[in-house]
This record gives sequence, C-alpha cells and structure tokens, in this order.
Amino acid sequence: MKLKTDRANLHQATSKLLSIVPPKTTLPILSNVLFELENEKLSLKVTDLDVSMTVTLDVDAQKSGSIAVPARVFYEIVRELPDFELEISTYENRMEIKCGSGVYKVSGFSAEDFPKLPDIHFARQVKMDGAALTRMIKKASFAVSKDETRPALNGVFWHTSEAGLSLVATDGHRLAKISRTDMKITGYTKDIIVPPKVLDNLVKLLGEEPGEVGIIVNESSIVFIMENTVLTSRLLEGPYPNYDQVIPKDNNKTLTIERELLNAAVRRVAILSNSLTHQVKFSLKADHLELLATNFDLGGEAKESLKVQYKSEDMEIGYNANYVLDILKQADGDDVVFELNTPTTAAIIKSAKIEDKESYFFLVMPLRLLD
Amino acid sequence: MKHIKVLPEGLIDRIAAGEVIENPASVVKELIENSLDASAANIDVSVKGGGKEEILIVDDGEGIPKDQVETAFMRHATSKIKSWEDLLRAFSMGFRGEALPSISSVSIMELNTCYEGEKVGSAIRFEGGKQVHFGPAPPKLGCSFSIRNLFYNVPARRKFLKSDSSEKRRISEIIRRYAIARHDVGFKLSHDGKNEASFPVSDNLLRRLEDIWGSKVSGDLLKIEVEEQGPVRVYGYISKPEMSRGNRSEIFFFVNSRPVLEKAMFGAVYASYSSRLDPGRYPYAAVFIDIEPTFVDINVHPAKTEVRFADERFVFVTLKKALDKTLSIPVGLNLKTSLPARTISFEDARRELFENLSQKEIAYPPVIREADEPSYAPRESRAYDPGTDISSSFQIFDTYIIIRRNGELIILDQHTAHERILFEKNLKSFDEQGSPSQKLLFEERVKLTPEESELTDQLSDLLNKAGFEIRRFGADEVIISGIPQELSRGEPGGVLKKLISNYSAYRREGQDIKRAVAAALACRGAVKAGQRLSDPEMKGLYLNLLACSEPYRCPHGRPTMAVMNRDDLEKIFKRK
Repeated sequence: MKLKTDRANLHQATSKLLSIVPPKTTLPILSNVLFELENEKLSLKVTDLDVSMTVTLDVDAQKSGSIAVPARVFYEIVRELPDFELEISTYENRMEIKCGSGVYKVSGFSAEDFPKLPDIHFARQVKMDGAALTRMIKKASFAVSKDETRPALNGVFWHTSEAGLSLVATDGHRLAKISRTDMKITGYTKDIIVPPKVLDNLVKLLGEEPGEVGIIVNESSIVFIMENTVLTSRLLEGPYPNYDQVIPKDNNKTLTIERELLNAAVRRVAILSNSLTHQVKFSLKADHLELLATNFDLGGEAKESLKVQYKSEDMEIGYNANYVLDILKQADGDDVVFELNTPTTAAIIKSAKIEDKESYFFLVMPLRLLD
Repeated sequence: MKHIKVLPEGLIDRIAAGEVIENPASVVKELIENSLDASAANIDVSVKGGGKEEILIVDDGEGIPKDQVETAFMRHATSKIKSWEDLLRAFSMGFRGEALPSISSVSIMELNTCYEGEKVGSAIRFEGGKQVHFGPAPPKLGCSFSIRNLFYNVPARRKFLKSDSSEKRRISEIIRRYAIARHDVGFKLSHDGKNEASFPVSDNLLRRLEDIWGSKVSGDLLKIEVEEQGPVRVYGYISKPEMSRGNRSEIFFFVNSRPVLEKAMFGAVYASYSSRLDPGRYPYAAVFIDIEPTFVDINVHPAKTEVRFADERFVFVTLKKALDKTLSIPVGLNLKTSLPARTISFEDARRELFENLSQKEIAYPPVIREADEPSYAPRESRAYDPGTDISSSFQIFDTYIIIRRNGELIILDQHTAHERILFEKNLKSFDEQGSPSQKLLFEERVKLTPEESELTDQLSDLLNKAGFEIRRFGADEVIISGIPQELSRGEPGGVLKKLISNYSAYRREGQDIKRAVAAALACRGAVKAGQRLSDPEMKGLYLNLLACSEPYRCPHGRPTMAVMNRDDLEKIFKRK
C-alpha cells in the first residue's frame, strides 16, 4: 500500500474513529484501525464487535493494499506531525509514515486478522433529516436503563408504523417517547432496539457534519450512512416491554408551570434531599406548588413555594429529583405540563408547546411517600 | 444381669420406622414412590396441619389385588424384587418393602384400593401397626392412602416435628423433586384445603420445568447435549450462567429417574460452572443420569436418596463433559456472517473476548481473609475520630480504598464498608418510619419457589418497611410494584429472590429476623468489588463508616478496615 494525503484530513478522520476503539480489550486486534486502499479511496475501519465505524477519504493512491495498525498510536503521530503532506507506505506488516523531515515506522497486523465487517447494501438506505433525528435521540436516550440485568432496556426502542417513527426508552422508573410523522423506515419495518453507544456517536457525528443521514435496518444490525462516515451497530434482542399499557389514559389533573422556574427550584431543594433516594415532595394546592425535601443525616430541610396553574384537589407526591431534572432538561418551551392522577401512579410530563410533526412526552413513577 | 429378650414385633416395626419415616414428607415420598411403581398417571396429595394431622394420597395406578392387601403391610413384603439378582437390577422406586409396615406402625393408616378387573375394592385400616379392619370398599381403581396422627404413639418423634409451614415446605419440596423426575405424571398438592401446587401431565421435561421454575427461568435453560459413555447416559436441562441464584437449592439430580443427592454429581456441576459464575452463585439444573442398574447401588440407606456408583470417577467425568459441552455454546450471540477461513468471525472474536474476560475474573485479587491478614489487623479497642486531615485517598484493584490520615494508613474494603453503613441505616429505618419505595412503571410478576414464597410472606412487614411493594398473585407468584431506591438498579424479581436467599443464609447464622433482612438488603445494595469510585465517594464512604456504631466489621463479620501506623511499617522494614 502506498498513498499521499493531507495531514489535517487524516487527523480529523482518526479522531472520529477513536471513540469506537475499545480502551481496554483482551482481543488486541480491536485496538487497531484497518487501512484499506482501493480506487483512490482510503477506508479506515474500527470495531469493538458491537459498533463499527468506517471513514472514507479521497487520497492520492499509488498502490492498493491494506494493513491494520494501532489506532491510538497512529492518531497521536498524526496529531503531532506538522501540516505537510503525508506519505504512507507499507512493507510487509510495517507501516511507514513520512512527513517533512520525519519518518515513523510502526508494526501492524495483516488485514486478514481484522474482524470482517458485514457488507452494506447502500441502495437500501432511507434518508432522514439529521437534525430532527438528533433531537429525537437526545429526547429519548437519557431514559435508557444502565442496569445490565435487563438487556432489552439498555437500548432505544424504534417503532415504525403508518403514523411515522417513534423512539422510546425506559429504565422501568421513567419513560420517554418521541414520535415524528414525517420520518419512516422502509424495507425492514419490524421494531428494533438500538444500543446507546452507536446513537451517542451518531449524535456527535451529526453535530460535526450536519445534513441528511441514510439508515438501513436489518434483522440484527442498523447502519447509519453520512457523507464520509458509516456507523454500524448490532441490535439488542427483545422483547421490549409493552410500554403502551403503562401509559396512563385517565390522568385528568393538570399542573402547568414555568419550566425554568421549576428546574431551578428542584435543583435547590434537592441539595437537602435524602442522599440515597433524592426524594422531593410535591405538595399541590389550588394554583400553588410547594417543594419539600428533608435529609435526616444533615438535619436539613428545604422548602420552595411556586405559583402554578392547578385546579384539582390537594395532593402530595414524591419524586426522585434527578428523574424530574432529567426530564425538564429535555422538555422544550417556556411551560411544562404535568398530567397527574394519584400519588402512586405515573405522571405524564409534556411541553406546553405543541409542534406540528413532532410529539413527545415523558412518564415518571413516584416514590411512595412516608407519613 | 438383665435378661436378653427378643423384642415384640410391634416395637421392632416402630424402631425400623424411624429409619424410613422421619417426618410427614418422608411418608409422602414413600407413598409417591409406591404410586409411581403402580404406574399411576396422576397423584394427588392433600395434607392437613403440615401433614401431622392427615396425609391423603390418591393415585390412579393399578391398585392392589384383594388377596395381597394384607401381605402388602407385612415387613419386607414387596412386589418388586424376589431375589438378590433383582435387587441389583432394581429399576423400580420402592423395593425394600419397608414403607407400608413402617408407616402403619406409627400412625392411623387406611388404604382403599381396587385392582384392575376386580368388582369390589378392599379397605384396610391399621392403628399403631395393628390391623383393626379389613373389608370391601367401592371399586375405585388405584390406591387411596390416608395417614392420620403420624407418630401419635412415638411422642419423642412427634415432639421433633417442625411447624406446620416448615413440614408443608418439606412436602412440597418432595413433590417438586418427583415432579421433575417424572414429567409424564401429574402431581397436585393441597394444604388445609388450599391448592399449593399443580403440575399437569406433560409430554416434555421442559414444559414441566417451566411449571416448576416459571417461564423466565425456563426460557434461559440449555438442553444438555446427550452424552453416552458405556453404561452411562446424561441428559436434562441446566440454566445459562446468566440465570443463576444465591443458593444450590434448585439443582436436582436423578439417577434412573430417582431423585438423589450425590456429591460427585454436585462436584461436576460446580466444576463446569466455576469459571462461568461468580463465587456463591449457583445454576438451576435438572440433571438425569441413566445408568445400567448393575453399575449403581441404590440400597445404601432406607431413604434411598444416596446412591453409590461402581465407578464414581467415570460418572463425574462423563457428566462434566456433557455440561461443559452444553455450556460452551456462545450464548446470545446470533450475529451470522459467512467468512473466509482466515478471518476472525464476529462470533469467534466475541467468544474469545468473553472467555478471556471470565478467566480474568477468576484471577481476581483474593479478598482479605482473617487467616492471611498480616500483623496490621484492625484495632478494635481504639475508637476513631474521623479527623479533619484526610489527605490523599486512592483505590487499588478497584476494591480496596487506601486513605492517609494523621500519619496512619487506612485500608478499606469498599464492599464490606458500604455494607456496614447500609446495614445500620436499614436497622434504623426499620425502627423508624421505613424507607421510601420507588414505584415501578412495569409491575413484575415473579414465580417463587415454595420456600421463597413462604419467606416472602413471613417477611412481608419488613420488606414493606424496606421499600418493597409486593402483593400475592396466586399460590406461588407475587407482583412487585415498588422496590427500595438503593436496589432500584436491577431486575426487581432477581433483587427479591437474591434478598430472600441471602436472608436464609444469615438466618442460619442465628441472626434475628430484623438484622438478617437489614444485612441481606445491605449486601445487595453495597458497591461491589471491582467498581471504580470517585474521590468524594471514597472519602464519603470512610466518613460514613466511622459514623457507624460498629464500624470495624461488616454485618456478617468480615473486617471493613485495616490500619497501619508508623510502628507497623517500621516492623516490616526491620527498623525496630
């Protein structure tokens, strides 16, 4: 393999790839980046066996070939080199990088040793708006469970129907659901569960290169295609819990409150909440909300009174402050609406602002209050 | 000198009964074996008062012909073997001919039976071993045994029977064991008129195991690769390593379909799982070994739960091989790729990754045990003030926290230290108002074993105070709708089961119920060895530990901290 290319080009590409390379692995080949040069195109590939990324660059190709070299070392070399043209060549299983007055050599592996990544049928991709998809992912993925005993909850559930695309995530204590009517997956339309690692990386990449993203869903994997970058991930196995049946239908008490006001008050009160449960009590009276927290260990007590819109009977509900704050961070608009029923059933939290093509809501389960 | 006399017949029977019949459960066991030998398709067991009041066992087997009914109650009368050669080949369950006379000598026992083809059945009644009635009965095919007032004439025995609920639990364990052994037979158990368990006739073992363990466990069972070596054949089901539990009570062995307890077989299971499970975790297993009867001695003890293999080593090796083969399937990795020979496939790569990982876990740094503690053991005599000068703290092996404080070096075991903190907090909250409960979005229905189910009932008050919200759903299932916040990461059913099995372990150590639940909760909620902690977390752990009333030991006695001072160091380096 022999090629010439611009340093900045390669630097940017390898820095993207590093987020996939597993920091610790017992399978040494996975800490490598695979170079494949063919038809003026250089593909750089990394994988942790769950998520894979391929970045393709136009280079001045002189001789096709391939090699896998340690990704982090390669990245550090390229990062420190001056901004001149790079010449990269391989000799047996060694790579040589020439730049200006410097020559760097590093041993690698044959491409044969690198795990083979699944082939991608680009023709099957469905185009989606990157910015809208990013919004959806952000609004759902905070609720993904981190508990590994229930693997299906460790991902974001994608549901495609006539009505469009919905993303759902839950950890069994709270749930987020966001839908868009103008997005649809075609081809493979069964429900899938996508692990968060690939989604985090996708959000990051779309932030750097906004625009459209192509999506291909298979039975066991999902592929995201951007201009120069392809991300692939294994899907999680279901079944995903039947979340529809836990969405309350009869929450007829509504509490409307300025979002930023509530956010700031909960944050303050939570400082003196129990350090394990983070319990904050919401005490509701007509057009009035009181937030209370106590911490016996500190002998601490906190109270905030807020003006709200609330017309139903008095009620006291306990919530984990962190759950409420996570949700307030994701809701848009000036006001949020809590739809409530009883102190022991799920609350629905929404933005008061209603969008045209996008709709979302969050569920949070209360803490059982002590008398 | 006292006269030596031959004991009267009744007394001999009563002494012998002690060997076969220990408690109501052993009566149930003997009579179930009789029913199975009589080719029963359904066996209904109903008991009253834990079986101490009454045991009723009804089967639809072939029954006993009228002219043999009386013989059946004679000692060593059996239809199953005639000679020594037969004993070596004993395939049937009960063969010693001890069960019926033994039971009848220590109870009020009645049998109604009708043999196939007879127009009138027979009824026979014994009181304390004496036949008091023998006559006709309605012609209902099969046998119906009623045993009342067990041990009424052996007060010493009767005194040692446990509470109704404990005896009931033993009986239901026996029935579960036979229900696994013979999935082709239907079993039912009711206690004081309430249905306790019902296992309908099933055409396959897996279905039966689902009835026993619930669909969650049965969905995670692996079929043992049938292994046949000479006279030995191994088959059955074992759980994937991910589906494990905190005690060994759900590991069942069967030799020629007879439930047995056998060390070599346990050994093989432990050996196969040892690299795949954390210490203290055990799988679910129903392991069957069919072996030519001449290679096994089942006549070791009247209760017949022990067997002796002619070649124990051979059985061990064969069993282990079968289990290893079953467990070495890469579970849950379904990515299919067709690859040229030289490249690493995803499966291979991932398998290698996981196998290496699990090997690494075995080589994990050993936990400090009392025996290998060096001279710097914790000084319990001195009370510690936390001090203000806690300078650097760091973690080694992601398990121990090292803190320098006022010229001393303090080493904490993060797990035991956190356990102690949570333990005291839990005790406090039991005495006070309780802990809040995180309500669950998805209520979870959990199938419990009879033991778990009984303990859940016994502990319901404390579990509620601890933050669980649990309600009954039928005889052996509960619905969990809320769990303690500190345990909220984790699948609720698993959390409950683990807690109950921890509780059983602590209870055996003689702790009172409140402390046992508090300790079990603490163990479950505490940070584990191998978890990385941030600096404030480490210091918080240390300060909270010192605020405890007994900071130096975890609730079950392991040390939480060791202190090294200048003296200790100087001794090590021979400056002193």
